[in-house]
Amino acid sequence: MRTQNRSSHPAPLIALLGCAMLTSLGLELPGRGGQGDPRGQGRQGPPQPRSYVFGAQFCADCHGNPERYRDRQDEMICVMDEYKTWHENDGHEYAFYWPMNAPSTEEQANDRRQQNGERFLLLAGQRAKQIANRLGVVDAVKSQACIPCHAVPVAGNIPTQYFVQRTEGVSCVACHGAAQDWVLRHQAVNDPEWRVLTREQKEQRYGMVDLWNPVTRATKCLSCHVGNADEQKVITHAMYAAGHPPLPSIEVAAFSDEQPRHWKYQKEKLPRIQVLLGFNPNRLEQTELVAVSGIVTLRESMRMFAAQARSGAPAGGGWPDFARFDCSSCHHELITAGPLAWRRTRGSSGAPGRPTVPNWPSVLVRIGIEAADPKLALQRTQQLEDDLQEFQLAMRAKPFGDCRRALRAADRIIDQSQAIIRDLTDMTRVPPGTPARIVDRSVALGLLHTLCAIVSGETLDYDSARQITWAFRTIYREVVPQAPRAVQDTFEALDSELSLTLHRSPSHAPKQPNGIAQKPPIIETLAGRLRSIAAYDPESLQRHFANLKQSLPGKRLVP
Amino acid sequence: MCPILYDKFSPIESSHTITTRIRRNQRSIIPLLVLILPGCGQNQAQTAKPCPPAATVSFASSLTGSGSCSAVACHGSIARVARSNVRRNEHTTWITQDPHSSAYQTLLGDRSERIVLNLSAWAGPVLPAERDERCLACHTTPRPEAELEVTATLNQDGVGCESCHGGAAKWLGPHTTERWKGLDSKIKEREYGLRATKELAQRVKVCTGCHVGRRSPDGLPPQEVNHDLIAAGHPRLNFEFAAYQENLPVHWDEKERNAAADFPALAWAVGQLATTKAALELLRRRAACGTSPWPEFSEFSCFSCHHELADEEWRRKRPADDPKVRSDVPRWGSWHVPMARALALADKPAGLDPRDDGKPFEVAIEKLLAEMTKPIPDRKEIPCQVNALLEPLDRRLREVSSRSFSLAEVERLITMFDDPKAWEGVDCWDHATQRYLALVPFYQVWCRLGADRVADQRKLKQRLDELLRRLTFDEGFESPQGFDPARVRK
Repeated sequence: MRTQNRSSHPAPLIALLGCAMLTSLGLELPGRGGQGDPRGQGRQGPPQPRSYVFGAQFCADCHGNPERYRDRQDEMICVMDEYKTWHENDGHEYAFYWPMNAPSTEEQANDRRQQNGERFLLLAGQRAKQIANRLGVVDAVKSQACIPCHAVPVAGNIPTQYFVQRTEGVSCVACHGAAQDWVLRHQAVNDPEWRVLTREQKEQRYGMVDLWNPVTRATKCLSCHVGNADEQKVITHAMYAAGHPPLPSIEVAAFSDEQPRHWKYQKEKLPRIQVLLGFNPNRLEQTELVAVSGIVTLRESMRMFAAQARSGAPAGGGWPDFARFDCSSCHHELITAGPLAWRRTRGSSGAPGRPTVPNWPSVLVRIGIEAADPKLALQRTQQLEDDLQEFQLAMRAKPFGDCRRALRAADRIIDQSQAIIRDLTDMTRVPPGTPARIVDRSVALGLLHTLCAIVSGETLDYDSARQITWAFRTIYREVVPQAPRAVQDTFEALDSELSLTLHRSPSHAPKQPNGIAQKPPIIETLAGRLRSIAAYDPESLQRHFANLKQSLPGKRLVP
Repeated sequence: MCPILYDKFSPIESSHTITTRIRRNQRSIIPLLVLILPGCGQNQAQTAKPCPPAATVSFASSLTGSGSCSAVACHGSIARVARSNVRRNEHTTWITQDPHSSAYQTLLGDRSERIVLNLSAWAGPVLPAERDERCLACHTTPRPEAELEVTATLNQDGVGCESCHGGAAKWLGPHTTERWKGLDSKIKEREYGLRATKELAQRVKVCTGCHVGRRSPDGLPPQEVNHDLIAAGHPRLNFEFAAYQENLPVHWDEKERNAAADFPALAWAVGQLATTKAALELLRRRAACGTSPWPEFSEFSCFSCHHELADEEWRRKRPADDPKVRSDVPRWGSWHVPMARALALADKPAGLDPRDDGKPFEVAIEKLLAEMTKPIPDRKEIPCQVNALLEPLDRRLREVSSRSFSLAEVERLITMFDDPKAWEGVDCWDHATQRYLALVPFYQVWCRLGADRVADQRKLKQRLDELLRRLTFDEGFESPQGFDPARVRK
C-alpha cells in the first residue's frame, strides 16, 4: 500500500463508495440502470462490457487487506491478500517500473541508479534506451512495441482510475479484464444476482475474464510469454538482437506456482467455498492445467507464426522473423567432443543446416491429448504428429521455411488443437455437473509414464527438457504430496541443471527503506539462465528420468 | 546443374542396390573389365539408374592418373635431384607429405560416414561418400558423373597431379621434349591442357575450385560445400591462399618473379583478390540457380549465429560509422570481403589505373552488402551486382599481379592493417583472423627487406603470436568460444 488510506471498513461500504464515486463521474453501473442493458444497445446484440482501466491501487483497497475480512472468511471466495502477494513477490509489477516519485534531476536519477540498479528503471532504464535506440523506437516507455506486454495498455481515451501505467507494470486488470462493469459489480460480495451468474456470463456480460477456465488462463499468460499478434504482443528477433532477453519456454502450471500464485486452487480453499464451487476432490486441477496449457501453447505459437507469416510486412512482426525459430538451433557453440557435443550425434529429421522451429511448444501436446480423451489419444496423436512433422519439414524445406506449405500445416494444427481444447474445456468446467470424465489420479499416473517415455525416446533440447520436467514435477507433487527422498533429490538435481526455479523473491526478503520487498531485477538472472542452457546435457536428463520412472507409484495405489 | 540437391537420389534405392553398385565398383578397379561392366550391371541393379554407356568416356580419357608421373626418372625420385630443372621428387613429396594425396581416403573415414548418415536421414538412402559425385568432385580429380565408375582407379589418387595441373594425356609425352621449354605457358594450357600454375592468379583459381567452390560450365560436377553439408558434418571452408600455401609441403621451387623477396606479400594480395573473385562467382551461380538453398548460410559468418547466447553487449553494438550494419542478421562475406576490401582501398601501386582509386570497388561492394544484409536477399538482384563488382576487382587483380612491394610499402601496409582504428572495425572472428593472416606475410617480407628494424619486427612478432593464441579455438571446439573483439584489438 503506498498511497491509499488503510482505515478498516467493510467491503460493501467500499463498493457503495466506489459506486457513488463513479456515478458522480457520470458512469453507470451495469445491471442497475435497468434490465441489464446499460448502454441501450440491447437490440444490436449482447451488451459489451465497457473498457475501463482500474489501477492496482483500486484493487488493493480490498485485496490488500486480508485482516479486514478475517472474521468473514466464510463469505469470501478469495483470501483478500491477492494484492499483497502480487505486490511483494510477483515480478509482473516490475515489468515496467518507474519510481513513484520520479527523480527530477539527473543527479537524483544517478543516485537512484546506483542505489537500486536498474530495477526502478526497466523500460526507462539504460538497457531499454539502447534497445529502443537500436530498433529506431523513440522511447520504450511510450512504444506500442513494448507497452502491451510490459504494462496495461490503454487505448484511445479509455477512462482510467487509480492508474499510473508506469508504476504498476502488468497489474490486476491486465489479466482479469480492463472493464468497468465487473470491477464495480463484484465488490458487492453478497449480491445474490452476481453470485448466481456463471463464470461465462460474468465474462461475456461484464468483462471479468474467466481465469478459472484453464484454457483462458493459459491463453492469457501465453499472450505475452509466447506472443499474440492480435493484441500487438510480438517479440521479434530484432528486439532480441537489440538486447531484449530471450523469452524462455513456459509451462503455465509451474510458472503460476513460481509467480507466485496469488490465488488458491479449489483443493486449498475452505470447505464451505469448495461446496459453493462444486469441488470434486478427485479432480487434479494442476494436472489439468498442465494438460491444457500443453496444447494451448502449441495453438498459440502456431497462431503467432501464422499471423507473422501471413502479414508479409517485413519490419515489426513480418516474415521471416528469426524469433519464430528455435534460438538454440543456431545459437550454440560448435562442440566436437564430450557430453556437450550431443548435437553432432542426435541425427536430423529434416535437411541439416536449416534453422528449425522450436520443439518445446509441442512437447507436451501428448499430455493434453491423453487427458482430453484416452480413446481418441492414439488417433489424435498420430494425426497431430503427422501435421507437426509436415510443419517442421516445410520450415526446413529451404532456409527460413517454405512459408505457404508451413501455413497449411499450421492451420491444420490450430484446428486440431482447438478440438482437443474443446474436450478439455468441457472436462474442466466448474461447477462440473456430471462430466463424463475428469483428470484424476489414474489419468495423472498415465501422464507421468508418458512423460518418462518422451524423455527416453528422443534427445530433447534444453527448452523441451524444462517443459517436460516442470510438467512432471507439478503432476507428481499433486499425485504424491509427500515425495520420497530419492525423488526430491532428483528434483533438486534437475532444478540445478535446468534452472527450474524462476526469478522470485521470498516473502521474507528484507524490505528496502521504501517498504518494498527486494526483488532482484530479472535481468540479473539472465546470465545464469543462459549459462544453464550452454551446460545442458540431455544424457543427464535421461538418467534422471530413468530414476524417476523407477519411483512412479503403481496404478494399484489409486484410492 | 545444382550440386547439393540431395533428393536427386531416388529414395526407393535400397541398400541392396547400393551394395550391388559398390561390388561393381570394386570390380571395375580392374581396368580390363571397365568397358564391359556397364552392360552386366544393368541386369544386377534393377531399381538403380541405368549404367553409363561406355562410349561416353571422353573427358576421363584426358586423364592418365598420378601413376604416370611417378617414374623415378620423372617425378618419383626418392630425393631431390641436383642440377635438374625440376626437383624430380614431386610425386614423392606429394604422396608422402601432401594431405591432398589422401583426400580420397578421407571419404572412407568415420566422419564421412556420419555425414552420409545425416544426409540420408533426410533425403533417404544416399550413396556412400566414396561413390558420390558431389564428394568425389573435390576429393579426387573431378570427372563427369557418367564416367566415374569406369575411371574408378583414379579415385585412389585423391587430389592428384592432374587435379591441379590438368589432364595429362596430351602433354605427358611432349612435356619431356626439349621443344617444350620454349613454348609459351598460354599455348601449353590452351593446346595441351597443362595449367599455368606458375602464374599466381591462375594458381589461386585452381585452389579455389575446391577450397571455395565452383560450378563448372564444362559438364564437370559442381564443386561445392554448402551449409547443408557443413551441418551434416563437413568442415567449413576457410581458405586463405597465402596461409594454405605456406603450410603446404610444396613440391616445386618458385622461379622468376615468384622468387623475389616480396613473394609472400604478393601471394597474399593476389590470393585475397582471386579468392574473393571465386567466392563472388559462386554467389552469382547460387543466386541464379533457383533450386539452390537461399540464402546460402556457408557464405555468412558462422559465428554470427553459432555462439552460445550470453548477454554480450559487443554483439549488439553497431559501428558508429556504419549504421547500415545490422546486428539482427548474420554477416555475409565476413571471410572473403574484409581484407579484399581493405586492399582495394589501401593499396595504390605505381601505375594505378587512373579510373581506379578503390571507389568503384567500394561502391559496388556496399551495394552488394546492403542486399545481402536483408534476411532473405533478393536473388534476382545478385548477378547484376556481382558483375558490377567483378569488373573493378579484376582490374585490381591484374594490377596487383604485376606489381612488387618495396620496404616502404610493406611498412605502410603493416601500419595500415594493424592500425588501432582499423581494428576498431573488427567485430567478428572471421575478420580478425583474416587481418592476422594479412599481417603474417607482410611481417615475413619486412624481415627479409628491412634488416635494420629487428626490434620493431620482434614487437610485431610478439603481437602476432598473441593474436594467434587468442584466435585459436579451444580444444574440442570448432567455434571461438567466448570470443570478444576487444581482446584482439590493439
